[in-house]
Amino acid sequence: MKDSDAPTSPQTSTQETGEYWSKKLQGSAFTPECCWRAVPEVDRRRIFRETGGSPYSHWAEYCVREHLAGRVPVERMLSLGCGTGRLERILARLGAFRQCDAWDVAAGAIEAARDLAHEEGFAHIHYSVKDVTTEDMPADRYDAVWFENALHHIEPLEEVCAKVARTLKPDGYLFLNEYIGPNRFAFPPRQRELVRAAFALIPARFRRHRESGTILTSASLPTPAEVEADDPTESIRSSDIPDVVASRFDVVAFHKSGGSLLQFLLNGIAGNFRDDDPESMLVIDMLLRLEDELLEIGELHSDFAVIVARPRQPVGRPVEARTVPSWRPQPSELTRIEDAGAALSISLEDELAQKRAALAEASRYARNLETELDRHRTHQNELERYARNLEAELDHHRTHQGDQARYVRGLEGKLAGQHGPDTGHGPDPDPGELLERIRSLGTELEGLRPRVHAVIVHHRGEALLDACLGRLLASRDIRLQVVIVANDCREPLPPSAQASAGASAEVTAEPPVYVVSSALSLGFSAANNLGVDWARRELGEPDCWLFLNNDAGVEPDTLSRLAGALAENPGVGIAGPLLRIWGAEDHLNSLGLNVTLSGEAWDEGIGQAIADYAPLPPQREVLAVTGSAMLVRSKVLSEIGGWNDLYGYYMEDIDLCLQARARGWTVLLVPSAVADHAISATSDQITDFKVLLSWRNQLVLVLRHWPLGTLLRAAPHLIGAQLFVFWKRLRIKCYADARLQARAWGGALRLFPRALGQRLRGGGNHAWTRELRPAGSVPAIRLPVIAPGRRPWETSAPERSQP
Amino acid sequence: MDEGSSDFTADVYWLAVPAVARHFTRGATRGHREDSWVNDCVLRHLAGRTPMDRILSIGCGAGELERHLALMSAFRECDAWDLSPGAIDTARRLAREAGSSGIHYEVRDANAAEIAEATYDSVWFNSSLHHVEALEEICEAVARSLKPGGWLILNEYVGPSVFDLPERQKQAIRAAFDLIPMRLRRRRAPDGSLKTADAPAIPNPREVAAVDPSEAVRSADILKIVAHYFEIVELNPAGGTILQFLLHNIAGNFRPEDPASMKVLDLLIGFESALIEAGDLASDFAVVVARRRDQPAPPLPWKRRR
Repeated sequence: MKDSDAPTSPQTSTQETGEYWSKKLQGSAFTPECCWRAVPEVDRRRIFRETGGSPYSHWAEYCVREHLAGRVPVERMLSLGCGTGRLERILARLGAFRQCDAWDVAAGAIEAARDLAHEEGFAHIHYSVKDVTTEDMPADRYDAVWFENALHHIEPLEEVCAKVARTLKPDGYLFLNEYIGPNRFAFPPRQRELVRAAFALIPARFRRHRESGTILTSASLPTPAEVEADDPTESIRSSDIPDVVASRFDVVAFHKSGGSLLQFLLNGIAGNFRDDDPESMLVIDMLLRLEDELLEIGELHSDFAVIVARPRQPVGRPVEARTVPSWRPQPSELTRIEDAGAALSISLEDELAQKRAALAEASRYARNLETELDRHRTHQNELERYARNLEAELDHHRTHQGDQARYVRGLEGKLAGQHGPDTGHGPDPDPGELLERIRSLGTELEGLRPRVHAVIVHHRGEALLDACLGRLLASRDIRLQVVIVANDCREPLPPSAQASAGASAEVTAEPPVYVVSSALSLGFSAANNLGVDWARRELGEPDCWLFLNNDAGVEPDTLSRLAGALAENPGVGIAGPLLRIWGAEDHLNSLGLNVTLSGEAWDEGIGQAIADYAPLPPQREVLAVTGSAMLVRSKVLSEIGGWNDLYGYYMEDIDLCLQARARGWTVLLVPSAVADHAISATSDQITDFKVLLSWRNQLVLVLRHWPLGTLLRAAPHLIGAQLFVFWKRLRIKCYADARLQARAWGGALRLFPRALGQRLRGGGNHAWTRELRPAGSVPAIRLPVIAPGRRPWETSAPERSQP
Repeated sequence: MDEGSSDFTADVYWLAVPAVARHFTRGATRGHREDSWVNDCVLRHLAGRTPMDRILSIGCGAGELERHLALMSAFRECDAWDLSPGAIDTARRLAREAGSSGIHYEVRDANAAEIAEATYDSVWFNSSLHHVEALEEICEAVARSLKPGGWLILNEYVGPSVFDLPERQKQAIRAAFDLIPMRLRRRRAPDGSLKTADAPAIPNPREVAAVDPSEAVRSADILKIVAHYFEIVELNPAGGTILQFLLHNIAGNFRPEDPASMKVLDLLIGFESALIEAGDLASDFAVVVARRRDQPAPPLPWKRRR
């Protein structure tokens, strides 16, 4: 029930107490693993309550700033039951006093306190081994007297309070932070029930005892006999403290700081609740709320309190009157004054409590209003959308009905024509006109489908591109146009593209396939941008762009599902499919890209059997999707200004996604849209060039995108890992790799000015950094074996594609 | 299924407490709404697809769901079945009174029903699938009965079958119950007198099976089987793991005009959410939005129960 800095004060058996605490300080009773206040979140909430909700970081700071405002440093303070002196050192750091006396009965504690004060150079704290119950205190000597977890060890409360009142100057203060709950922890049955119930609600894994390792089944509430045996002074008259103080002082502030549940609840298991374990924080938050609310509805009473009090002032007299020795109140008058004082303090407290409740009520009300308003806004939007849908639907029906009526009339007319000229029906309809109308209806329907322009960068591999195109052209329910960028391509294109590889593009198929050629070898980004620019100029702006590798194949409904996801979620800028491994389609290639703090990237789920990975999420927001197959909202690509040609090859897909996210768009993986990627076909050939680019671009990506704070966080690991690997390569005489690594650094350094320029122009939404994985968390990846003949192009010609 | 009986009055039924219902709906709609999971399905998942030509509600009870959907003009024609003639009579009367048209009520046992193929744009179960034992058969039949791309929507108890709760769940319910102040544990006994409950109403599986052999008969298998036959679009856990049992019989004590009771309720809701979120407990209720698969489902990876 105390700080790690356990202080004490004596009563009858002061000798024992002193020895007990001198020993206990070296023991483990208050180790951070076991003590409730060692949980940072608990400590924060306790301080919040101890300071009456003011923004101070310690209750002593609150007392000094709020109650001694304008008077510090005061002349002289006294700290009673000071233990190892943490309180005085805090006060000294706050510059609260010129001189401070501090007493404790434990010689061991006083020795430690002296050393610690000496270390900090505080020569104005005077420690002595003294017993507050027997020691005399001179009158009118101190500006403030402090107790921190000490008064509850004192039996003659009345005498000690009387002495303290005398030794305080008339305008002095008594500050105390104490356990004021049941004597000897003899808690009432309801409180015990609540502690046990709250304990049972804690998930088992947080109930593991930090020292023994066993899972506790119930909270350890000591019996009064055990408490007394352990320390005869422990909370000997704690529950009398508020009354005794109020009978001799004017209570200025009384902050109930709770502890009635948590003090014993977290005994021995406190170390399981850590800021970096979000689930444990959920639980601790729930327990803290429980204690707060039970206190508020009066189901529990606060076991701890901070009390600020002043020596009782005679009613209606100025403070100086006290120093006039001739004035003595008559006993009856004294009672009257005491009663009046008590009544006043009670009514003030009531008023304060009412004000607080009103304030809390008002802020709750305001919060409710806000939520309500939000709900109404959302609701209104929905209603509007709903109304628009209804209108569209109605329009559609009207048209449809008209068509049907016309069609029926036409049919009737035709029938009549066949039966002979003697019918009273309308003229024969023109079958050509009917056909024309059906065609125009078809065109209209077609016009409603999303327009997708697919851009495929192709370098070589005729059969590969053929397989890719064959699957792409079977796409349903979209208006597709395909642009192949023949990037330094020196072999014929497959029959499915059937185009002359000349400079001009021409329509060759339905859906139309165009070919744009570049005689120069362009990087992946530059080649994509060439295709995009050409398509924008010649075909107009689409609803979305599909970027597809020439070794990737889509299902007939992949594009319509991706386009549907973009249409349904207006905040999504880029959508990617579930990528399987072409040739081993029961294995995953990618469920989106993961990136670590130091810029390493890998595909989620890569190499795992889909059955092992299940269940697949319906739609999943991801950091980035791979450029092997991605659908980009047209508006997003325009906003970004195209692919970033900083990289050459590798990482440009992550760059594109991060740029979109920096502008507030999100990236979505849609597992119901499926595509296949011939992953090993491209990874067989590892050249120095590819290795160099991937090493360099990891650094470039970090320099280009990481916000300064994240960059600083990443720097130690990134630099450390790089230097370590470099050193290791030199050690094992792997000079070629070491040279490549150095070249990667040089390359990144050369690109740094451009990256910096882009940083300054880019968007400012950095919420995505929260999704970065820890540095070095890349898993080991195992790819499945592809059976021969599983891929259409490998049966005919073992071609390889460009990355 | 039997909304008419006294088990569902505001005095005893957990979801009759408005704050609990709002919490349930927040979970059931992924935080999109607080009013109704049906609104969320129609306005978010089926946006632009309504009115649907023909839908089916299986185990419709007194027909609340169909009247709600009719108000939203979500369908042109709706078939609605229940095996209780009394419920169907009530449903017909209420639909007439509400002026809802296009609903065709029928007394029919979905366990045995042959459902017409490729007929429906959506099929709905509202607290009824957990009464079905032949889950595989009904899912197969429903999948066949949907048009391509058609929707299956269900709001169900998916917790332990026959309410045979695991020890941890019982422990959490009992502990949460002990936190409730005495005055909020009052309940009305069958003879009309007020009693203070000293333990939560944790059901005994044998009694459950004796009272209604179909109650939660295979509820724990629902999610697995639905995921096998359909493509799950959204699975929204709505909680109820603690609150359903905890508030049974004492729900009426939690009223907005008693602010302290609302605070306690808020805490209890918070506990359930935190324990579910921390992975300590599972969610016993869920709203599932699923679609018909393009290909027929593969053979079952487990043995059929019968």
